Amino acid sequence: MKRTGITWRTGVAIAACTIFSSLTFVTRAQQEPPCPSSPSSTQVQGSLGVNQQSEPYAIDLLPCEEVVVALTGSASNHPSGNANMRLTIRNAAGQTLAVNNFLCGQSCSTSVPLPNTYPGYLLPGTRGVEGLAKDVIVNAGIFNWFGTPPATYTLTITKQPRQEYNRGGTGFDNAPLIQKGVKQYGSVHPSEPGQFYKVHVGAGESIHARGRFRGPDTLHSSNFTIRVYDSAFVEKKLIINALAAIDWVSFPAANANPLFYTFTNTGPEGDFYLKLKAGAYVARDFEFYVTNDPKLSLFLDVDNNFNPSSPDSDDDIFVPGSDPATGLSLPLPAAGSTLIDGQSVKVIAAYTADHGSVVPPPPGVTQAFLLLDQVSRFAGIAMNYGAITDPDFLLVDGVVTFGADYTGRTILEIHDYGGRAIVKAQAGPGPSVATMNLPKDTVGNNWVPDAGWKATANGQVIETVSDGGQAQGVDADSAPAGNGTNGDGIVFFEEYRGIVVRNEHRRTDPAIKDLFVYSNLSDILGDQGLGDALSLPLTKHRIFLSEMGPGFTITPSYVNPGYGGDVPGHFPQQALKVIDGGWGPGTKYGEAWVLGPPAPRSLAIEVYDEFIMHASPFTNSRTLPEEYDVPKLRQTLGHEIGHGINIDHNTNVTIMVTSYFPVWDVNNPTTVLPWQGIPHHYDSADLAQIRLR
Amino acid sequence: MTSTTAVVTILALLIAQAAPARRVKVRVFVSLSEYYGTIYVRPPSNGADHVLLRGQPLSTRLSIVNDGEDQEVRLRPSQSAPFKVQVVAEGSAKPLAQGVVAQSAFLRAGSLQKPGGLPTTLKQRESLQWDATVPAFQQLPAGLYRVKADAQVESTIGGPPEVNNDHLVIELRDVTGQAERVELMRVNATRAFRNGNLTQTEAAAQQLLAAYPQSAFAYMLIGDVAKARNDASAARAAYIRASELLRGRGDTLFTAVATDHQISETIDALELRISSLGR
Repeated sequence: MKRTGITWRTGVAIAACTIFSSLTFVTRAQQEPPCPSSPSSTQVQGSLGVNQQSEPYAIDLLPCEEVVVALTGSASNHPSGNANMRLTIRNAAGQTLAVNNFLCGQSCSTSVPLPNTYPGYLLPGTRGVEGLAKDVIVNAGIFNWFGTPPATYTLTITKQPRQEYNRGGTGFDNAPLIQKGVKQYGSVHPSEPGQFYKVHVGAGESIHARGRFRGPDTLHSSNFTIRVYDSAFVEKKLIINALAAIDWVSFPAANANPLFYTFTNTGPEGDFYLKLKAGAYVARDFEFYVTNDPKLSLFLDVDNNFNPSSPDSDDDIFVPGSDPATGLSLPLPAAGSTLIDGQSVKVIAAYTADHGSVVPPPPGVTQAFLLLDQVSRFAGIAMNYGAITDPDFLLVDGVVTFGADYTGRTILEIHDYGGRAIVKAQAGPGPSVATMNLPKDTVGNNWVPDAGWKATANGQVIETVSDGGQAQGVDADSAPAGNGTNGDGIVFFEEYRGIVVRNEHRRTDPAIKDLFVYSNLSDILGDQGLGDALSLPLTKHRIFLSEMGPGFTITPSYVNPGYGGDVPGHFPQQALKVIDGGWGPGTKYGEAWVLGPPAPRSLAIEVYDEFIMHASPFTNSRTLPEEYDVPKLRQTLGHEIGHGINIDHNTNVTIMVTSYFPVWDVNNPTTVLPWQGIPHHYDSADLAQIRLR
Repeated sequence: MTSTTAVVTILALLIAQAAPARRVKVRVFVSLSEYYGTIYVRPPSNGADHVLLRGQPLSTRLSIVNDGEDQEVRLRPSQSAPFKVQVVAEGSAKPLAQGVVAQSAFLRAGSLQKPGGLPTTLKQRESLQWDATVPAFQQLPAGLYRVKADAQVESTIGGPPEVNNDHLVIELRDVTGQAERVELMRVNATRAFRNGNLTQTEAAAQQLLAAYPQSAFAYMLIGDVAKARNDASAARAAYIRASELLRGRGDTLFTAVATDHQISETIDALELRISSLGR
């Protein structure tokens, strides 16, 4: 054998690529030889006399390669001379895999295998040595009268890599474990025992193989089979049995009954084997993946971008009544309605394979039936808004039809900012069901979405709250510490479900204490009617009268006659009610009646704005606004609201001082004039008394 | 949490609350335009906002406020009157009395107050206010009443105004005993002082003292009148007498219904008045 210069250079290139591949796929290289990354070509020359056979020329084909051997030669110097010749590719046992008998004259050119012949063109590598080309031999037979032995020839052995091909096993013992949904590629020769794979199947799980194959040429068909064996190598079921010539044939057939191509594991979960076999002629190419039965699945789409090709459910980001993009709550329902609109939430039913994609529903299945189970029916739509105890979610359609994209869709109506339910779907005969918890609540099972929520105020996100799995009824707000009593009277679930504040739904922060104040003093000072209480280190919310329940309660809608029952740990937290007391008794500027909590409040805090205007210098007019009216009104609001959260009088000159002003001593003109020293701050002693429950 | 983090968090909260979204908000507020609290009778009960004794007029203040950020709002009436005021028994929807809304209104803009009316343009933080009376209120039996006001106003931002509150709950009580009679006298005397009528105040206070000589609040009013007349000596004497009555728990009608905290605060208020007179 003589290498040509070209072949030598190619050989160097192949060697380099092989080294590179070895480095790149070092992990895989420990399991199986690397596959060359580029084609290789080898040339040999020889000559044969009458009835002579050449030495074997090595091919040593890898399972991931395919090969063709081309011959150019001459058997005579005379135009009429020729010789009978033969090219044969053999396996390691010397058995013929491909043969070409030809007549070579003054010059000839041919190959083995020939295109469109039964061995397949190019001759494919196989996993087993039975189908794998080992060498090629040339034979010369009888020369005719004009023939002039010896016949000379040049062989070009060209091998093409086919990455990922034939990575199965040659038997049960070395069958690799394959994952469902991952495609396998190969060729299988009739003389092989088959190509073997191992797959894990759960108890009761049904699997099938989905893919395609083709035979060798237009005249010969391969009988391709896939059988399932158990761990004792006992055949369980023939799941694929198909014929194909040169054109691809898909399996299972489009209209095949799943009963025939599906294997169901009726025993415990375990490993099973697949044997892929070719009958009669080579299965030139196959590709397949193992999948389980299409199963009915449910998806939620809250951002209108569901893609059946890569389906993804939004149930993990779903927060009822919140914009998924901003985290802000959606606007309140229109008057007379409980439907929280502005968010298109769709429930989507579809069959999926376990590799995730949406697949056609089984034959004869055209619709899915949907229902809501374990639906909450909280009073109203938020903790202080409404009283109706209708279901918190509604499905627009109870039956959906699978469309061209194989999905069935309907709208999920949201009727509560903290609703809960389970969506159930059923389709086709048998127990083909799917369920989906809304919202997704696997952390703590505490009625709160795993996604957490955004605490908001005045249309702004002020905190991102994560669900740490706290119990629904925990009330552990710790900031500010105040007198050391944690909590603000609004338990964890209620902070999430939210409270309506001046027609805006807000979810609150379970770590920061929230104070709710109703007042009929208008906000003409731009301080939300809170005066100096605006500086309290609490989250303050000024609410409308209609947003406060009986007895000044701020979370009156805690009742739930639906699934789950009332909010656990509910506390009858009160808002502070501040009303304009006009002139009042004429002795003071405001009245808080009780210091609290924990003392419950049955009377509104009164602020006597007319008397403040009268008492302030300089004219004692109750109608003419003057210099000290506003600061005194602000301090009075801060003072009385301070009483409302348990801050008692202070001997220091703070908002909570008893006698507000230094006394004007006419005999000591250096003393600060009355009214000029109105305090506008709380000191640490004030803040250390704060208590909200 | 570090102190720095705490400060940042608190600042963030304050900013969040102090800087509402820039939206125009027209809101309705309802309050009493005349009220003198309770001294000799129990404070409001059963969820009522105010107590009125038979004989006290029911006068409400109806306000429409531009609570928004920086935009002007044009207002115009949708009916002949800017508000419809009705009185219903608490828990009932049946109107029992109608309110009469004043034709004239006040425009409040910061420290300015001037006559106003509809149509008008409200700038940020400006409000338009009307007073309304319910003459037939006094004919109703004692009980709890809801005084409800519905705005009949349209704005350029569309839709009806938001409602901060559209009603008050008033407890109407009959004058059945000495406490109610004395309270009504105190209210009348206080109203006279509020209205700047010192002579009438003094007369009403004396009438109160005649009926109930232990009234510290009658002496307080007498002191207020004297102080308004720059008669510090007389004022001091009256305040001291009032203070003594309270310290000695002599004003038994008051101490019967007041908390210690209220008594203490009233004494403080008297001391402040005395101190303010100088030496």
